[in-house]
Amino acid sequence: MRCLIRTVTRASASHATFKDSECLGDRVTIGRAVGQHVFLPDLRVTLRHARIALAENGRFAIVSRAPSGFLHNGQTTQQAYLQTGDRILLGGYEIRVIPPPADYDLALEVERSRSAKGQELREALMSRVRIGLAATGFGMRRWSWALLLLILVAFLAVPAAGLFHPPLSEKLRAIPGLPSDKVWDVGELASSHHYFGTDCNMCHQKPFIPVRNEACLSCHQGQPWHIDPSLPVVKSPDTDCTVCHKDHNGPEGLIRTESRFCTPCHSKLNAQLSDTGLFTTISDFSHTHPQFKVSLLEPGAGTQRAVRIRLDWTGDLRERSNLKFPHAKHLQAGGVKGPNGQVKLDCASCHTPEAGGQHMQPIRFEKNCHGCHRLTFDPTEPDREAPHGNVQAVLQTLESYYALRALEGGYADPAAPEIVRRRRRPGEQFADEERAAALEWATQKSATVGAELFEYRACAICHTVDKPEPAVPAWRISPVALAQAWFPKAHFTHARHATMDCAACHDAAHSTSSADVLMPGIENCRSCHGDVGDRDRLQSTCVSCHDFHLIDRPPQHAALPSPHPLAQAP
Amino acid sequence: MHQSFLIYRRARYLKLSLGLMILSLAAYIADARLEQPNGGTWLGYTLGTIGALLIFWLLWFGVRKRKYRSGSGMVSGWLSGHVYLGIALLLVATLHCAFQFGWNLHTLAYTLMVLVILSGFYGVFAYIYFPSRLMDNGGGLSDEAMLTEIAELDGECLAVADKIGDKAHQTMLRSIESTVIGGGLWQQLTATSPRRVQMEAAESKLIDLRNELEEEHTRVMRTLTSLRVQAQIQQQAQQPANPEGSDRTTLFMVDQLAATGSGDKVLAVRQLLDLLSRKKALTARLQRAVQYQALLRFWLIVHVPLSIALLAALLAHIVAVFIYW
Repeated sequence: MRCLIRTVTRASASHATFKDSECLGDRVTIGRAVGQHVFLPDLRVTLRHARIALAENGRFAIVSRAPSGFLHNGQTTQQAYLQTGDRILLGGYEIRVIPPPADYDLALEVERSRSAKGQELREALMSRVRIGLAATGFGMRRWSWALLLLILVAFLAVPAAGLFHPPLSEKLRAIPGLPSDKVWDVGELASSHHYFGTDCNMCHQKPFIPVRNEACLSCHQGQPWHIDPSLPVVKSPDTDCTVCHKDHNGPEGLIRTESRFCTPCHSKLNAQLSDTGLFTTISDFSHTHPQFKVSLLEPGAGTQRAVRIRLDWTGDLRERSNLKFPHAKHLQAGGVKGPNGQVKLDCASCHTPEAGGQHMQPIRFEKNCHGCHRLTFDPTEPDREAPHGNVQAVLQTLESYYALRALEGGYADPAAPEIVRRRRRPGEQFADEERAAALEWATQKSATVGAELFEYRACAICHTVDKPEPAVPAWRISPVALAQAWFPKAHFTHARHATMDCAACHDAAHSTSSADVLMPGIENCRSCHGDVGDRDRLQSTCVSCHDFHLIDRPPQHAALPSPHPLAQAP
Repeated sequence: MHQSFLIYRRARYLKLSLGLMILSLAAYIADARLEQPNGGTWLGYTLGTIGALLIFWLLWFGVRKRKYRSGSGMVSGWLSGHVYLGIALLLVATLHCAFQFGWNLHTLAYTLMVLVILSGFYGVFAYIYFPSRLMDNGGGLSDEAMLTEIAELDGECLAVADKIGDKAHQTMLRSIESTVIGGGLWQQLTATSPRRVQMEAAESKLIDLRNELEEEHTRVMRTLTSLRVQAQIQQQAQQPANPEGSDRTTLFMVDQLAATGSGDKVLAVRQLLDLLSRKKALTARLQRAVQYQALLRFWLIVHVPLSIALLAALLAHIVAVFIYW
């Protein structure tokens, strides 16, 4: 085999020199050793690195003798067949297979690819060096863009798309893991709103518009107004439910109870509504809240009208209940005389709380008084009693009782006529005169006993009794007007004050007249209740005692009178 | 004179930040007495606005840092503000959300903000701790200079190994080619590229080679010594008869062999081991430099992309809150 080895030396990019040598033999040796046909003085090339020989198939093959091999057209390999145009890279040298000139079997062009000594090693080293974070592939820019887009799409664009196309919104909410407007949920809803909690648009009906009253009233139809719609209030609290009701504050957090929602108006109401004379300035409980007003029933003909009177009214503050009841007498330490001996009474003997414990059950004669106050009328029959509550029924009872006794006879009263006193024999018949005399006695007797009952003994003990015409046996009991709700504007609950002694609020032990108003004043409450921020007393807000939605107001969804400012409310 | 960004202008931003924090906290405590605090109260909106403005301003630092011709104050002043107001932001945003967290966009924004601020805390530590370490480690040599020196040592190693033989040359070549510096993020941060293993493999191979050569050298020397003794005895016995005879040649050959043979190789291997240990020390130093630089800067990989993510989450948060007002 005859091989041409052309060594190229490049002084500059445009100037190269060639040195040809010839190799005869059965192989071309390549290496760093002296005497190799292709001499490559590069430290990365071993002494006898590779050789080229003719293979059985007539082609030239290059075989590496060093484990590091060589690069053949960019591929590291141990052996390869050669053809014109191939490039072998060994250390810093490139061996190119060029078309052999005439009479040559093979021609190789050898060129040192890089010139300066040591540069190859440095470049080789640099190819294995990765210094700096830029080289690690963690491109901050790429990550930044990826995260920016991901968040804007998943947490803004996709949920917002549902606003324009509600069916999409429903689908997104239904499939877990998909970004719906649930990702905007700022906190748990109040428990009463849980049932529609996944549908944000129940309340948030229009984007970028705060929740409107219509959204609330679509469910809460019967909710009454706070203020009388006929009052000319400049800024009504009823215009915006969300002032006091903010949701997403947890199961219990829907109602804002702070007094500062009330006091901005209630501290100025008397100025705003001076002509009504209804309001006083209230900015807190401890100092400016006025004295309580008790609601007393004013006895009238047929109807009883409630009037509210301040407890500190300097006039004659009396309850006109038409009932005589000295508390002191019933509560005396030694007890009172009952039909079965001495009875020791206390408050609970008569005042029992109604179910729920808020108010006391109304006092009833049959339940609370009758045990001691018996309505007996005839000493000969001490168990027989007149009925309670109906004058005519009492009179009829007396008349029929004494008529019966007169006709039976044997009535042991020395004042009675003989016919009434005499015992009847079996089968004995009355003469007409005798019958008339007996019934005459019965009529007189029932009138006498009736007068006694009504005017002295039974009824008059508790009731005011009138007898308009002395001749006619008809008495009139003045109607009893006991106040049932003393403070109808506040919700006081006895049950929550059960640990207290009754006497702490109601001075019944010293009350000698039923006209005494035994309701405690504000000073009594203030001894335990203070405003928010008070360190020594129970912190109470307006809604601790008062309701905002007043039941005597019309429901909010009802049509409003046109001059009312709420009519123009959004 | 150099002034740390932490005490820029007598810690002006520290005072500003402390003032903002105290003010926010006082307002929060006062407001919490009046109502249940959350992001939707007037204080909540106020703190949220302050927080959002702080985030926009803190993000603008990334722009300011890259604008070398900006007239808006020194970068070190901006950095001082960036650090201190970033700390203040943590409190302002926490009070804004009133400690209410959930699986939602809003808490995502908060979490991203916390991660950005925490990575920033590390950044402050890194900027204080690592530069002096880096300087001490480099000992005046730049990375470039160290690389050049390593390449030169590689050259010398190959030249010396070449004298020893093909086997040593191959071992060295493989060792050189497996010298990897730096690498991926983890390798840079922990300085754990496979370099050490390869270099130690080469070293142990060379030590084996040296031991082998030393044994061979000892054996050859022993043989030569006995040959020499024999030759000398023979020479002394035959001196008169054959003064220029073959025994003199034997003696010369023995001396030559003793001078050139495996003894030189042993020396070369020792030289190679010496070169290798120099290279090892230098590579280790460069690796450490790479590690310090990585530790100095890697937090930015968290800080910067997450702050951009925070920007997106913040915008989404603001828009979403007002969509469902």
